[in-house]
Amino acid sequence: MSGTMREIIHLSSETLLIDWNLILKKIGVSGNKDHIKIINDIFRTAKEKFLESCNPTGIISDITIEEFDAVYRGEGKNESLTPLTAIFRRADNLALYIVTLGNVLSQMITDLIKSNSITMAHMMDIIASEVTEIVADSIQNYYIKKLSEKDLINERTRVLRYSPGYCGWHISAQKKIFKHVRPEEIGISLNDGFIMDPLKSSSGVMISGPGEIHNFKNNFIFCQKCETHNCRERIKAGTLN
Amino acid sequence: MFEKLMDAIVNIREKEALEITQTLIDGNENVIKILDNCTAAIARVGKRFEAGEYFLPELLMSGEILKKISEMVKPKLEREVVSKKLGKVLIGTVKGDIHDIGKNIVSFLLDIHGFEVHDIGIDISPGKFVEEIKDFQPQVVGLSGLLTLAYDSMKNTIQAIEESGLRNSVKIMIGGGQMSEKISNYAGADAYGKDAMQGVTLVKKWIGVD
Repeated sequence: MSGTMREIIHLSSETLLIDWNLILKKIGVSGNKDHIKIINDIFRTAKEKFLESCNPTGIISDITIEEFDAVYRGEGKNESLTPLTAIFRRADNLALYIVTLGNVLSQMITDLIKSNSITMAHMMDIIASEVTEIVADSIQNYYIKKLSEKDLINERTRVLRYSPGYCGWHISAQKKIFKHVRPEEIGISLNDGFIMDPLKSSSGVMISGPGEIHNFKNNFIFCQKCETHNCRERIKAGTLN
Repeated sequence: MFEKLMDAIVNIREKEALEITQTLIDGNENVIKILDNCTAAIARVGKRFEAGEYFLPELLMSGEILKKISEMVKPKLEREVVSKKLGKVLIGTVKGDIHDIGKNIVSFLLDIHGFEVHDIGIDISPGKFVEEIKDFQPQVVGLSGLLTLAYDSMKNTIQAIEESGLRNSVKIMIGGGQMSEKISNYAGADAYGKDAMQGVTLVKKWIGVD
């Protein structure tokens, strides 16, 4: 595809594939102690409040390799060697994306903190972080469907997302992503530190191409500081189409 | 009665804890003694957390109970007793980062453990940290940050504290999603708190509170 498609996608929180038990585990609720019921009750309320207040929305905008090269370079602050440089140049298709859960949710979490309802705020924050990724997954699936409709994928194709702020791609690249995607239309802005508002938003590039282009060794200088090394799992679990 | 109060807090039975507190207040029980027992209960919750028996929700919920009890006994406390704190902690999210849930949790837990916490917010420049340290004169400074970009921001902040001649007057801890011992060393901090409770433990250790 060649830099012509830009689409706003509104999702319903009810249709997102949320694994609530997994989230409950991440929050740290387990065992058979008497008070677990109380914690579960708070979680149930947090879940209801979350579903009422979140407004999952995303934008995808396809982009050519040449255009993305400029977006990727951003403000010229990337590490000199990064895995993404080699990956995107071998891509079949690329699209920029930005997703958000909306402002109402962020304000609700802030208000809960102010009123000392810190347990509820903590639970809603974790739910929101998890669901932001689920929304990004949904947008990625939508992109894959679009590619498939245009016969632009085959059995060797894999699509993975990459975001500024990780793997040597400096966060200041957000500025050019914003210029290309124009997410102000769905209520997302960028601050001076290149962080999105609402906070529960995610941006980056979806790269579609033969599976092997996504493989890289995690021996870059910045990998030494990385605590998660979750690129390994991502590469392994990358969407096969 | 006090043992029942402690048991209710430790086992997160808020309604019962508040009812017992009301009975104690109505019976003219010494409010300092009530608060001391609540603090001991919170310490037990902290031990259970460290032992892996409890998780963050229990820590936070017991803290919320203590906050409510503090509000109940406040009218009976003399002003000077209310303001008596174990030590001062200044905390903020470093420049370029606006994540604050972790910082808020640490602030909340430090507060319920008896420390005077001055939370200076998010996206705080090194200069602002220095200015606030001069004004507030804390024993401990907490630098929070979730993103990898916070690494250099933390390093710059600690460097600014050093250049201002204040480094030896404060202990500095860092915390947040992507932080580690390695980043603590890189930034020049004294320690890294892997979770909110460890932040409290570090502050207790540095200030000399058992």
